[in-house]
Amino acid sequence: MDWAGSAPDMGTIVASTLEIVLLVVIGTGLLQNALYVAQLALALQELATQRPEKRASLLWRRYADISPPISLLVPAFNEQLSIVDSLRSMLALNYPSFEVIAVNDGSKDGTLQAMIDGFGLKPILRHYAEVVPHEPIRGLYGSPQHPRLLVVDKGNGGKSDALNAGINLSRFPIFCAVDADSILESDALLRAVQPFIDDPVRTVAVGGTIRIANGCRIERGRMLAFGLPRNLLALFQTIEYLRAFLMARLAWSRLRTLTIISGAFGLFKRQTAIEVGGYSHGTVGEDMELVVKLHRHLRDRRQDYQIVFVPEPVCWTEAPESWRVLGRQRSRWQRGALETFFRHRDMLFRPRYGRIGLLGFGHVLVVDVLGPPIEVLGYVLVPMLWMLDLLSMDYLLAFLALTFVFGIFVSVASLILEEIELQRVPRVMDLLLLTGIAVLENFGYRQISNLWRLRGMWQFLRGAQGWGVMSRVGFRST
Amino acid sequence: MFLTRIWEISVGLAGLSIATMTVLIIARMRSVGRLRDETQRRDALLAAMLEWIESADPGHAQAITRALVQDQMLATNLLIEVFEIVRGEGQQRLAALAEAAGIGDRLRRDLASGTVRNRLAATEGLAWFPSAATSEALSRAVLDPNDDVSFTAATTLSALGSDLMFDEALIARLARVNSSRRIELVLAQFAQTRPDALLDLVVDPTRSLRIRTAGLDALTQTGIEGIVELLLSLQDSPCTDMRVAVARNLGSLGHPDGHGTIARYLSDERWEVRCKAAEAVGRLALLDLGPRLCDLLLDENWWVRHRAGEALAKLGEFGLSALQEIVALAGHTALGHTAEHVLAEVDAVKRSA
Repeated sequence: MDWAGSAPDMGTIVASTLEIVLLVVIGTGLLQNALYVAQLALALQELATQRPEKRASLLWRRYADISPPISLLVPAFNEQLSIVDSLRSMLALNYPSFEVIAVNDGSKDGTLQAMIDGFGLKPILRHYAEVVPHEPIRGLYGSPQHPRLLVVDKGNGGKSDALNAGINLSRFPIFCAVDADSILESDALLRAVQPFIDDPVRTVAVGGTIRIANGCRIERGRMLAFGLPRNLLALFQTIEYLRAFLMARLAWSRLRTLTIISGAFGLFKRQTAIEVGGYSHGTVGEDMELVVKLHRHLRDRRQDYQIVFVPEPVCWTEAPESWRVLGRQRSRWQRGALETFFRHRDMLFRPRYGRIGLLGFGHVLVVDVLGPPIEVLGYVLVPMLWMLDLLSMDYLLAFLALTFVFGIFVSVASLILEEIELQRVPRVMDLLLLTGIAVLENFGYRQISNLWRLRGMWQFLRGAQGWGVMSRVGFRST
Repeated sequence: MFLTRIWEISVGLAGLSIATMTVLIIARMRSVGRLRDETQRRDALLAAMLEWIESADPGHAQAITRALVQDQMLATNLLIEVFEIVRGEGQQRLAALAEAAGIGDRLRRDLASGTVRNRLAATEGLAWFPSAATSEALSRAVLDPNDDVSFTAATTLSALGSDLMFDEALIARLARVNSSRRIELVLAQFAQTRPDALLDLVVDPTRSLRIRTAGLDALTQTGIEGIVELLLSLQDSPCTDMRVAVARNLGSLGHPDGHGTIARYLSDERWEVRCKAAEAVGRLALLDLGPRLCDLLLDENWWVRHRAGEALAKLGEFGLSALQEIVALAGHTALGHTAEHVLAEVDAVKRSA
């Protein structure tokens, strides 16, 4: 560091302070990247040892007789356009025993009417116990033609509230939370339920992979052919999702330190979810909050349990294609992570919570709490000081390496994992394009993402509530 | 120096990852043609197999044997798929042909090494290749470190009629708390072939509850002689899970001697037992226990209330009248709501049917 000030004492103090700040920036970057390398290694190990079975017919033959029944909970808010197709595809899932409980969470559009018309529903009564809290139910609907479908109409209370209503009305030992705008592959439940078959006593929750559906060929709620999005933002998200699911979640699952199961697709033991009070109100990160509550509850009881991620069951979701909507989503995710982290901050590094407190919460601290502000600080400070000739080239290169170049390695390595173990991208040209995107996303998109996360932190500090508008294009038949 | 190293390592790793991806893309380009060829070979072989099952034409047999020898992996996967949909003499002929072509040997070899997925597939596939060598290989596979492989090997062996020892090692494994639900399949198979051994296991209080209750379920399904006595001998077990299993099995067995136990279980201290007993009353249509079900509509546990309501509805006219009477008398109380909702659900089920 070359600091030359006119007042030597003041200059020395400022130089030392800046040096410490820079060391923190570089140190945090190193720690983050070390975590990514560890995740990659663990994910590769997991995929290599637990290579998924590709033939769904074989899975059916193996597991149909011993698969536990599942209640699919589908919270819906203003989903008038797609809800009927989504429910039809869920009712056609390849699984021996399941029910679909769609919860209309006080939609302001014609979601309820669309379901009534689409399935010929009539008001019904169903006996249920209110074991977790939610807004009052206005009516229940069913149809003799679709005995597996139950539609719940209730006052608006948010996604957690709708899921809680679904939990109360469900009758099966396992429930699966699915977003109304997502599409499950026909064998997704059969694959996702495997941990509940392999280790029925200890397994309390299972998460599956979420992939981007933009660009895929979808008709009437069914995925017909894979395709890449044409929109650049959706392409960036395709790589992001690969990294998040195939690398991070798989790695944490292997270490038994998974702190989140996506709200778009996750299976839970109903009784255990009830014991922790179901989904929490007053948070936008209800999915992470539930998983952390489960960890805390079971660790407090010193119960042997497992919360796992399985990569092969896939749920397809529509990614935002506009900067504004994506920014709002990312700020909200950041806010959700912070809400859960600070609600349960006493778990951090506490021996009672074992590896969850050390690794799970330690990871959230480094990547979600400290990471964004420190990285953004680096973007401001490092180039500025270098241009003012106050910083050596070595510092600049190290910072660029940690924020741009190493990101390329992590993103491309996630794609390598996918290609080696799963091969879900059918066309060579698509692979080529994704490789390019994995490089490109580190120059601009990553930095903008960090700004969105900072905005999420600011919203959290101000105590902002609510989800914001999530406008969707809707699955297009292409 | 350290800072420079960060740059160098990052650039090196980024370059390496891109180079690896490039290699994978090239490999993928090359595999496109290979996959197309494989699909064509697979389709041709499938057609030949189905043709031969129909006609037993020796010409087809030669072609199939050649294909089986040349491309064993493809042939093995295809064979298993064909065996799943074809039964009878044609299937046996095809299996004999495959055994002669070395597919059985390949599966027996796969059983001893490779990934869990391959070992499991080999264990299942060998069900179609019964022989002394297969039994021997499967007996070894029972000791496989993976539970799925081990349990599937045990089930397959038992289904093949082998006198597999229901030995301590296997029992210990089946009895583990975190063992797979596949144990239900293994025990169901054992209940068919070695009911006496399973019976000894169920009555042995030193064994884990999980294996004892699963064993009891499996034995009840076979309906062997003495099962009622066995269930009654376990009725006073201090373990809730065992009493639940007894109630469940008495309900599915439907023997009149179980009446007293079911009646007693309706007032068991544990809700899980009361719940199963209520279900059993409905399933066996034990009309004289109807009034006790009405009492259970006020149980502290929701599941007991719900199952009691369902059971009442299954008692036919008697139960339905009772529920209607409760609705009329209890009105907007919790009891009235339970009865009303149960009646509504029964009505909905009838309409669906």
